[in-house]
Amino acid sequence: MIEIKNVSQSYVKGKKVIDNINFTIEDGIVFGVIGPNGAGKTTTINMITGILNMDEGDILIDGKSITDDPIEAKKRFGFVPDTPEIFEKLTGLEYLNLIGDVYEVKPEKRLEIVEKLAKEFGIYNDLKDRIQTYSHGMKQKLLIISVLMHNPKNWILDEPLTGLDPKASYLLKQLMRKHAKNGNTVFFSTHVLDVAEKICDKIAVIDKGRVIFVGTVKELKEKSKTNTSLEESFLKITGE
Amino acid sequence: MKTLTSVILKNSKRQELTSGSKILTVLAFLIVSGFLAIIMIVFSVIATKRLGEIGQSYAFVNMLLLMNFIIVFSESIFHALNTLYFSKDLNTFLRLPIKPKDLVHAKMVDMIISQYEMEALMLAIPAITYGVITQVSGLFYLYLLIILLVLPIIPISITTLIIAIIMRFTNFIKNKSKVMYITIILAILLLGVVLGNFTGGETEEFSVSTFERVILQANGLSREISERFVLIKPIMNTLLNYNNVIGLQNILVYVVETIVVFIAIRYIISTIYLKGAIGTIVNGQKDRKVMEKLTVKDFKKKLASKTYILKELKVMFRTPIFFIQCILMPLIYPAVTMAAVIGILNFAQKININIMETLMVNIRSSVGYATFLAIGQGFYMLNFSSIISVSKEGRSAILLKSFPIDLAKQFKYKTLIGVVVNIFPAIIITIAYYLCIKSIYLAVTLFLGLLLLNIFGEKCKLLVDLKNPQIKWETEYTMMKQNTNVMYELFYTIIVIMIMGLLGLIAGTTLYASILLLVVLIFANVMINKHITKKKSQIFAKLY
Repeated sequence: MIEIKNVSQSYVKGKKVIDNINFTIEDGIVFGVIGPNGAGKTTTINMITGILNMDEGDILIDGKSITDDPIEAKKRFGFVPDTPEIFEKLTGLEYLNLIGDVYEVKPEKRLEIVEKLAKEFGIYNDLKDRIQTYSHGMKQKLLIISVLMHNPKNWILDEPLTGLDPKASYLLKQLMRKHAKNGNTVFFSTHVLDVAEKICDKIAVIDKGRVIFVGTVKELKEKSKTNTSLEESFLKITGE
Repeated sequence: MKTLTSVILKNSKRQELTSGSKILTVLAFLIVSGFLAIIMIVFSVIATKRLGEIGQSYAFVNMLLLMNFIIVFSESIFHALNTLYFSKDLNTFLRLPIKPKDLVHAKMVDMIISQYEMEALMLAIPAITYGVITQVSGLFYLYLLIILLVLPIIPISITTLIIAIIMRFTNFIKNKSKVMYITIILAILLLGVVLGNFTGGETEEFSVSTFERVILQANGLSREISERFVLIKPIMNTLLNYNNVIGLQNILVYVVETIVVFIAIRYIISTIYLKGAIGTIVNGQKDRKVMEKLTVKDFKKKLASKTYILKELKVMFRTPIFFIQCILMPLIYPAVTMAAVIGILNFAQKININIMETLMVNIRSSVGYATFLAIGQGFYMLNFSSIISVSKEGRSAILLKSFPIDLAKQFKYKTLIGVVVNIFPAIIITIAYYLCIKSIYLAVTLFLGLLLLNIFGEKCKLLVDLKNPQIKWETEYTMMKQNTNVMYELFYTIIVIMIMGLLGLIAGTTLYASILLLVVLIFANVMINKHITKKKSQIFAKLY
């Protein structure tokens, strides 16, 4: 479970990029955060993962505060950033072992998951090559495998489908659903509204640093009084 | 061609800074540049006057020209490799309908212009100081200006040609780091051969008798130098004969020589450039092969700390510019300095000047003890591993913050390489000190002091890097070259040296100096550790 409580953040003093946001992502659901470019999606994710300090409020990951108990909080999630820039001088395998060691994953478990997922994602034969030779999509796949390898309860994914080929994209969506079905949490940001509509149990709409809606897609449509697509509801609610 | 050159020049400028750090950086730049300029002026005054006493003042200008020429040569190996082959802008430029000649021209001009900053400090300031002391006329300064503009062209052209030829045949190698290492080594070897052929082959070995002979002639030493380095003989002769027709003849010869070399080399490179450049980009991608089946042996479990430090080492060793600047050079500088000091002392003894006798009085004093610590700091300054420890990772450094590893521990791991590398100069300095004063107690305390200074300094460097992380870079080389944080190393060194000197003076005796300096350094380390543990979250705050 991820709880975001009264969180604010301003890069420049007095100019809030995140303005007092509140929402809770319960266990067992896929939760999507959508919003226009520059709305504050990545900033929110960066605060949840401890990359960015918040000015006010607190974020709890399974009850552990990212501010007061960062190590315990960080052990409870796996994170895929929006730009897959990972240590380019390492090989894919070395990166997976780095993550395995950091999260204390047993070698047998590493082998089992890596073998299965790397084959499914089509990067098995590239694992001993340096990451600098990987394409954007391959790096994204490697990051996803690294997160799944230590199998955290909470997945936090920033635009995870960007750069993935159709097969990998389909596979990841399946895995996200399966993870939530097993009682875990999947929190991800996307600008592809179709994806949000298809796989999210709940969504949050962020605009200009404020959460303007939290609920199901159906509830959003009701609120915006549109009965067609999420796209239309989204445009209406964000006033675009 | 003009537009492309200006685009490449703008693209190669330093990273955008925030207004706060911009003011600080400009301030630090001014202080550091001012300090360096003062050092260069003082050094130039002393050198010109001392050489003038034996009728050899012009030898100073020749040495300057030679030194600048060598610096440009050695620097241009990395510069050419990164600008022409490993620059990310190639992904854009190679797709556009641009002639190879225009691209090569633009990139060569970029490399040439980037040398002027270094020349201003290393050549213009000392040469002007020489001019003022020796009261030369305006023509000297006019020639100097022309020389400043044309001096980098020939070394850059030659190195670029060598690199282009090597890259034409090594670009098939998939591993980019391997390509870089091979190219750098081959370039150094080929450059050695080229320069070897351009130095005076007929000249005798520079022995004591040669020295005694040339020293008796007015400016004999400078003539001896110019005879040995024929490639820059015309510019050496220009400034020596600035007030007569020989100076004019020589500058014309050198300018024409430069233009011909530049045009010819640009043409040759243009014909082979595209294959090398495209090869580098294409081979940076993949060749499909089936990998051996992974086994559990491929997933050996290690401690998080060990695996983290190993990652740091791999990044360092697998990136040639990082390896050379952060590991190799900090090891080579002290060794070379030590060899040079021994050489000078031996040579001085041969010509009956006993420098050691004068030096020993100072070495035994408390200031002497502090000076050895300051020398250590001087060598530590040349080690860039901690000041780029975060920046070297690029944007992937951000990911480190999401790891469940305490930030204070990550801080410690990141300074480890710098601390370990610096132990080498610390040992050399301690041995040198022991050989001078023959006191085990003082040598041991000096070593401990050097160690504490080392640990404290590396932490300060990382604090600077975290205060202003430069993670949005195009190539590793540009990150190193344009890293404004490196200036703070010099700034920090100046302050440390001043404090060391002051404490040495206050202490009065060597024994007191050893105690006082150790106490101060222990206190400094305790304070910085407290700060890191307490403020770790704020320290890493700018990394996002």
